[in-house]
Amino acid sequence: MTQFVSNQNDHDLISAIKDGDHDSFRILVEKYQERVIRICRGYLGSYEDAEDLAQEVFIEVYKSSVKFREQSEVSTWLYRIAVNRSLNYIRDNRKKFILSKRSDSYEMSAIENKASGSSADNEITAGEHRHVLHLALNSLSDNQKTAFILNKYEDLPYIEISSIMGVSISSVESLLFRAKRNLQKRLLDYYNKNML
Amino acid sequence: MKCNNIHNDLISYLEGSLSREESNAVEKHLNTCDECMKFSDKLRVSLGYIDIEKEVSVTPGFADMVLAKLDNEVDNEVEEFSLINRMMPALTAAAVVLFAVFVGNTLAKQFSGGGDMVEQGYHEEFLYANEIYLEPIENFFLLTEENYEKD
Ligand SMILES: [Zn+2]
Repeated sequence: MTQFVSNQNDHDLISAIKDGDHDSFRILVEKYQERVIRICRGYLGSYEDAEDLAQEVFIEVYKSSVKFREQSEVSTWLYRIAVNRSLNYIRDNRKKFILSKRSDSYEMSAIENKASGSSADNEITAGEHRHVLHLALNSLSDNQKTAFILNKYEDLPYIEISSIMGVSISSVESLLFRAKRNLQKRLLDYYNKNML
Repeated sequence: MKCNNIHNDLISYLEGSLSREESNAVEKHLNTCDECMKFSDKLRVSLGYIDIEKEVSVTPGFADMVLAKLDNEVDNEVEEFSLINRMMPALTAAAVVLFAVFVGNTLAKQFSGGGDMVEQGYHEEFLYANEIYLEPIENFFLLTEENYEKD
């Protein structure tokens, strides 16, 4: 019942947004901001970048609300826009993205090293762990990465991931399986070369 | 159990999705193998950042920023539109010239046969090769592409 009511509200919000109602748009933003930022962060790593991109996502939501068809859930549609925007962002900023993230993480690890005293030469620092996690994530195929982020960052059930991605539930399962295999393989390879 | 088999199961072990028996087998191996134990610890820390990053605390006024940006963009679009209106005569003239060039080119190509063959994928390869000067960590993830399971 509550599910029904909240979905009903979402559709009402979208109809109002179609008519240019900014108050309804604000309600929609406030309702979904955390979820959208979390998705973007899964792809980008940096919180600031994720918030900036989430703003773009909501602008696109507003502009394309006229094209929204009532049959699908508003949340599914929103997630889909967040996923596509994130994938495009990485594609467009591949170089800048990797380089700026690296300098971020170096700064971060320097700060965290200071805070925790010091660390041995072969110890992987906190910033590096984080950086390596996102490099490994970004080395996955778009589909594997997306299934993994929707499942691990957003805790979405397979059925919802399948409607966001437009693939079957069994495809989601196998994408997740391969995503985890590849992720751990890449991380272990990295540790192997960097700590022994 | 061999180390390699353990490596395949570590992520499932850490997220608690193995069966009791499988999980016990991994644990037993970890207790006897320093190297796998080290890997498992590192993996736990790296993957642990997912839980940290999931905790999102939205900057206050986020919705205000989105709305301000929206207003700004709508204003810009209105401006662009009126600019286009003012430039219409010039744009029309330019379109006529472009069309003439296009027709000329098409005809020329038909008579010369073939035309220029643009190699597909060239652009992408070029970008990829360009990234080789990145730092070792990035290289590491770029160059190991082939060893991993595709979709
Ligand atoms: Zn072992």
